[in-house]
This record gives sequence, C-alpha cells and structure tokens, in this order.
Amino acid sequence: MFLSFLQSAIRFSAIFLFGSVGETLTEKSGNLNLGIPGIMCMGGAGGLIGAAAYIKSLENISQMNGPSVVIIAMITAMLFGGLGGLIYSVLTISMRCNQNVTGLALTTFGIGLLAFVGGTVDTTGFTTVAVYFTKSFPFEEKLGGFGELFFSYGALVYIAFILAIISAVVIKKTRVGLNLRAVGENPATADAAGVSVTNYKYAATMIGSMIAGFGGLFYIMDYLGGNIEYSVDVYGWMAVALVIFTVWRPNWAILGSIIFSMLYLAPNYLDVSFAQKEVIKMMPYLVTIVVLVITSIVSKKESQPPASLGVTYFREER
Amino acid sequence: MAKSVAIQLKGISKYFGEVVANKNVDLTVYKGEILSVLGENGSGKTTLMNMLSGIYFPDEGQIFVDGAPVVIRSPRDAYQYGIGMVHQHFKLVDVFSAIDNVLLGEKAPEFALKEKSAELRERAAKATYVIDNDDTEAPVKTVRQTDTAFGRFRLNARIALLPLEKALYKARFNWLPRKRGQKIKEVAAKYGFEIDLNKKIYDMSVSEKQTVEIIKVLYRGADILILDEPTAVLTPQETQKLFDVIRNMREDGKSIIIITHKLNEVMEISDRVAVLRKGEHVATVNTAETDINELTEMMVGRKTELNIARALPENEQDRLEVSNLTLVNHENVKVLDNVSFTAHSGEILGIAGIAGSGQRELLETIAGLNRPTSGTISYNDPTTGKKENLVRKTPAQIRELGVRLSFVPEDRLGMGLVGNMDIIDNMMLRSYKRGKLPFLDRKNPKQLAENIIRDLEVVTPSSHTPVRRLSGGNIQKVLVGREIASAPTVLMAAYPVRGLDINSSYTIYNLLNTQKERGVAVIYVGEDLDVLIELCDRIMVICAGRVTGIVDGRKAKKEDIGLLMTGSVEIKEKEGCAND
Repeated sequence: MFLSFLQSAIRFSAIFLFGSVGETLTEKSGNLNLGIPGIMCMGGAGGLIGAAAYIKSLENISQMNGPSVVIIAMITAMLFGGLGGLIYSVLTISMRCNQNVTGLALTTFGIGLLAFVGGTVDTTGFTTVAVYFTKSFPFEEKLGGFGELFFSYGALVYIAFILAIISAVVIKKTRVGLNLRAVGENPATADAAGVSVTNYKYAATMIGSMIAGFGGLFYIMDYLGGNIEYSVDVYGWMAVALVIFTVWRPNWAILGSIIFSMLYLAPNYLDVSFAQKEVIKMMPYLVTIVVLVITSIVSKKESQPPASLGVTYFREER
Repeated sequence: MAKSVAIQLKGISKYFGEVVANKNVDLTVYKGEILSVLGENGSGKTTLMNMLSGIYFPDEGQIFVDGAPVVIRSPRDAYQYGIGMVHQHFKLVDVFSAIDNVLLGEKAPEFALKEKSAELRERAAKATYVIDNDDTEAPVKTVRQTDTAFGRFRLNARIALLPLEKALYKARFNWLPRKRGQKIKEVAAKYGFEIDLNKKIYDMSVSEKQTVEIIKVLYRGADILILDEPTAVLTPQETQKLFDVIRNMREDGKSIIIITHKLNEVMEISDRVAVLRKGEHVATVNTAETDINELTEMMVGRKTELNIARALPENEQDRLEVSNLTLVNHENVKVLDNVSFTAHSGEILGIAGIAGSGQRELLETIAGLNRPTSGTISYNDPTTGKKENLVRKTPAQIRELGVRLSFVPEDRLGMGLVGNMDIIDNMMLRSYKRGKLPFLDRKNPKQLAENIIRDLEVVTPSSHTPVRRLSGGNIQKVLVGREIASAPTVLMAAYPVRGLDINSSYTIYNLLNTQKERGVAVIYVGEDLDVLIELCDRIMVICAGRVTGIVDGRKAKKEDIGLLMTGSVEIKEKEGCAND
C-alpha cells in the first residue's frame, strides 16, 4: 500500500519537477515568468497536436511506431513551450513590458489554447499513444518492490529527473551558470563584465519554457493515459510555489516535487472525508508560505530570490 | 628610466547636449608612472576617464594606445587595449565570492581551428623518423612523417578530430574548476593584496570590495588602471595600504591614473598631476616641482564675472539655527560631524564643498528625512515668534512650518516630481490633502500650473504634458516654482542649476533672489564657485561632513574657498567673515 503510494507520488512528481525546473532557470535570469502554468498548457496542446498529426499521417493506427510518436509529441510540446517563452521574452526583454502582467496574460492564453486544441483535435488512438508514453523498463517486474519503485515509470519521468540534475550542475558548476546567476542578481554588473544580458535572458527563459512544456505533455499523455483534462495550470501554480519552496535550487526540486505530490495524493490513500481531503491538498501552499517566512527570518543571502527578479533591465538607466 | 608613452589623448572633446564636459583635452600617460587627474566637481575628470574605459565615446579627438590610434566603444574594447577602470560605485555581485566575481564574464581564449590544423601540418612536415637498420650495410635513413602512409593517417586523423578537441576545450573552460582561484590568488599575492578571496561580497568592507575590483581589472590583464576617487571611502590606514599596492603596480611597469581632489594625496602618491578646469586641461606638472597652493590656484582658476544681481540683505533675522548636528549613516560613517550654523532671513546662504561631503544629508536632515544622531535644529517662527525644534518633527510638520526643500539630486525626477504625471498633477502633490471632500480640487493647481508656466516661461505644449517630456531646465523651473508658490520661510535648493544652460540658470538665480528679497532664508548648495561668490551673501564650506569655514560672499576669494573645500585650511571661528 505504502509502496504503491510512493510509486505514484514519484510518478506524479514529474509534472511539478518539469514546471519548477523550467521556472527556476527562468528566474535565475531575473525573469519572473508567471506564464509557466500557461506554458505548461501550451506544451500539452503542442503534444496533442504532434501526436494527432502523426496518427493522421498513418493509414492505420496499428502501424503506429512507439518511439516515433513519443519523440514527435515531445518535439512539438517543446516547440509550443518554447513559443510561449519566446512571446514572454520578446515582450518583457525587448519591449520591456511588465513581467507580471505579461506572465498572467500568457497563462490565460495557454489555458485557452489547451481547451481549444483539446476540444478540436481528433483523439482517436491517444490511448495507444499513452501506452508508449507509460512504457517502463522490461525488467521492472523481475525486481519486485525495488523495480516498482525505480524502474516502473515512463520515459518522461526519468527525463524530468535528469533535467533537474543537469540544471543544478550547470547553474552551480559552470561559467554559463555563473554568468546566468550574475544576470539575475545584478544585470548591470554582468553587462559591464561582458556578459550579454539579453542573450542570457532569452536563452534561459526559452529553455525553461521548453522544459515546462514537457510538464503538460506528461500530465495528459502519461498520467491521464491520453484522456484530455484541462486542469494543467493548477499544477503549474504549484510548480511556481515549489520554486520558492526549494529556494531556487533545481536539485532540491527533486525532493520538493516528491513531497508536493505526496501531499497532493495522500488524500486518495487515506480514509478521510471530503473536507479533510481538501485541507490536505492545501498543504503544499501552506508549506510554501512557511518556507517564505523562514527564509525571510533567517535572511541568509543565498536563500533569497535573485536580487533583480522581476526587474526589467535597461542599460541606459543608470 | 626611459619613459615610453602608454596612452595619449589628443584634442578630446565631449558634449552632453549644450553642456561641455570636455573640450580639446591633450593628455599623455607614460608607462610605470602614477598620474593624478585633479579638478573640481564637474571639471570633467570622470567623463574624460570614462572615454578611456569605453563608457562614453568622444565627440572629437583621438586616443592613441602605444602610439597607435584606437577606437574604444565599450568596456570590452578598453580591456582589449589593456585599460581597466575601477569606478566609484563598485560593480560586484553581492552573493558571489570574490573569486566568482573576478571570473564573471571571462571568455575562453579563441581556439583557432584553421591555425591549429596548419600548425599540425607544418609540424608533421618537419617531423622525421630515423630508421636505423640493423643490417649494417644500409645507412641510417631518415624518413618524413608525411612520407609514410601511417604518418599521413595519423596527421589526418588528428586534424579530423580537431573540432572534437575544440568542443572538449570549450567544455573544460566552461567547467568551473575546483582550483579556479589559483591564478587570481597569484595576481593578488604579486601586488601584495591582503584578502580572503573566498569571502562573499556582502560580508566585505568597502575597502575589501575595492580590492576585489582592482584584482578583477589586473586579472583581466590591464596595464593601465584608472581609479576613480579610490580613497573617498577608505580610512587613512586603508588608504596607506592601497598606496603601497599602487606603488607595487608602478614597479611592475603599469600606469596608474588616479582621479582625485584630495591635494595631500596627490602630493604623496603621484609622479605627475594633470589639472582640469571646466572641462579643459589646464596643465600637467611634475609633483616634485609644485605645491598645494599652486595646484589649488590651477584647479579653481581666476575669478570670472557673472554679473548676477545681488541685493544687500535687509532686515536679517535668525531663522534657522543648527547647532552641533551629527549624523551617522547606516554604514556607520559620520556623514555630518558637529555642524553648526545659522541661516538668516533675507539672505542667501551658500554651501560649498566637494560632492558628497554631506550637503545632501544636511538638507535632508533639516527637512526631517533623516533623524540626526545628535544636535539640534531650531526654527524661529516669524508669525508666532516661537522657537521650534525641528529634530522631533515629521517631514509633513516641518513643511507646515514653511521650511521648503526643493531638492534637486542627481536625477531631477527622483525626488520632488513624478515624471509620468502632468504639471497640474505635480502641483497637486503638495495640495491633495487640502479640502474636506474626498474629491480632488483640480482648479487651483491648474491655476498655479498656468501661473508658473507664464511667470517662469516654462516651455511646454500645455499644462497637461507629462513633466518627463520637458527639458531639464523646464523641469527645474516647475519644481522650484511649485516650492516657492507656497510662500516658504526657508527655501533649500540643492544643485538647482546642474545641467542647465546659461539662460535657465539665470532664471533660477533670479527666482532665488526674489525669494531672498521677500525675506525668505535661502540655502543654496552649489558646485560652481563663481556662482556661489556672486550669488550668496555668506558661503559655508564643508569638507567631509565638517564645517571648515563660513566666509562672506562679497569678500571671499576663490582660492581660499578651494583650500577650505579640500580641508587644507580651516577657519576656527564659529561664525563670521574671518576672511581677509
């Protein structure tokens, strides 16, 4: 019972992980992208379009090639997520619009786009596609509980964990990460040191959005098994909260996302009333507020948000 | 030592709109020397050096590095020519360690594919094997590597793999090594810096931060270092340490340019002194052949006649008495040190001093924006005749008494006006609290705005134009106009003519004079000594937060004020015209 709870929590954590790793990368560059929930929706919509287009190109559904459909859906999800990031970047970096307003507008747009695509796209064969997305390692069953805990997931779950680790290493251990952090902390200093603030902001925001786009794809194709549901943005907001919860560290996001998904799924495994269920579902947000309070009391400089988060950089303004 | 030229400036000019920042400046810097660039505020020292470091681009003239003409368009260009500048405001990332700050933005040396493969080919063509046959008959044979099939294969394989090598090289550079501080530590040790490079910037003192900035410039390979007012923030001990390091750098053959206005330090550290005045180069002299008096004279220059009308003060009364005012800011620096003076009604009291000597803090403290650490500010109310202590009052209460601060800091729109609002709305910033109804009264402010536009000749399409669209002079007129409209008893103006052309400046002087004739106590913080001498009745000189003297504006000589400003001389009397 507990094993299957843990297993589904780890599986479900991927959606938070995609969202928060994408948002962390973006925020490290000083862009507070509140469009992440919408961008996750856009990624989901992109995945649906990619899969539907692939199915349409076949004469018969039985001809479907598993790896192809997974890769095509991933590429289209990435493109749509990246497109969201591009819109956000052009508006906030090049045209210097307000980041919060832009982000919220993008979220509204993304939710609408997913609803539109989900309602119009031909869903025939999606359940078959979902089978490929959830396909786990063949040796999983031979390993018993251990296999169930570590090898029972679809490819996207592993990709989420790998991306989180890569992001953490890049941010912490490389010059690219050093420059990126400087851009988010003090863009004027980075600029003076010869770092292209604009390029870094664009790249971080777009790569972050591509990663977040996978979140929507994972939710629909893997977690829901190909059934379209439009509540992706709810998990997007939790991912944004998770960024604060993990004090802007993608490696901590792995643990954080598992905790969040455990809190979110716990009611299903407990014998509790509806009201109690809803209270437990509130926990992630409560925990985030507590973390915010703690970090601001401790006021350790390293656990503060990037210093120029949400501020538009403009070189001539000195 | 044979002197060779490091940098030469020829005929450099820079204009900001109508304002001349630098005009036809010639300057030569030699290798292995310390050059001081000396001048008053606004004499164009920093602007000139910013053109060397790539912040500004000169409008006229040519820069030569090592004898060759160069174009410097960005700080990156400047680094390329070995010019590095340490600015007054440090550019450091707070949450990074010193090492990370130095490494920030460093680019890998170019991995040139073509050159590398050409080099490999060349080497292979020269490489030879010696084939020593054991069959003694055959002679020892030498074979070129490129003559054998295996040798050619090895060469081609190496060349084919070069892109991979390049990628590996890039990746290795991009990886922050665990020992990444080694080279930086070597640089620091070489010049005798004492600093923990793993310390985070937010834990550092100002002097340590400055050290990091200098190390950064040196690590990037600068041969010419420009230090902008390096000692302004340092204690005497730290200054001595810095000077030791600067001397080490000179021994190493580097050229160091120090922008300063502290004469004693000029005498102590520099080999030569270049003096700037009003954007023009006055002279460059050898430090050993000059003295403080001569430098002061060069710095302030002869008096120029401005013909600002100045009436004799009438009916003077003590309006504002400041005594023993001390203010310690949150960085624990004494910005005001035991300041005492009296401002009279019907006179203009000028405040002279090097920028940042505490002028701004003094006015802010009087206006109630800062709470002084000790001392009193007492105000004699002309209507009631009562004495009021301003220290315990809020800014709103102080304003109610008629003390007006028309503050004009570095950016005009920062304090006092809201750039995106029109002139009427800006008038309302002072009147919105009046009236009992929750609705705003727009009629009177509109009337006031139109009066100001008419009386002060503000050039604007209408009173509905956002003030940020107006020119600097017109913004200034709106600000000063609003403050005097409320019939103040004390009017404080800080740098009200900064950046204005001559005509606008005179309008402002006339405004202040009108106020003085109405019996207002005017306090004017200015930069231009000529203006202070012609406009003010008395001039108070402050240096590093201390009052070094109060002189009579009608009798004072420019050189004397200059000496007071740099703290070389001090007039001990508390009050009076001790200058003769």
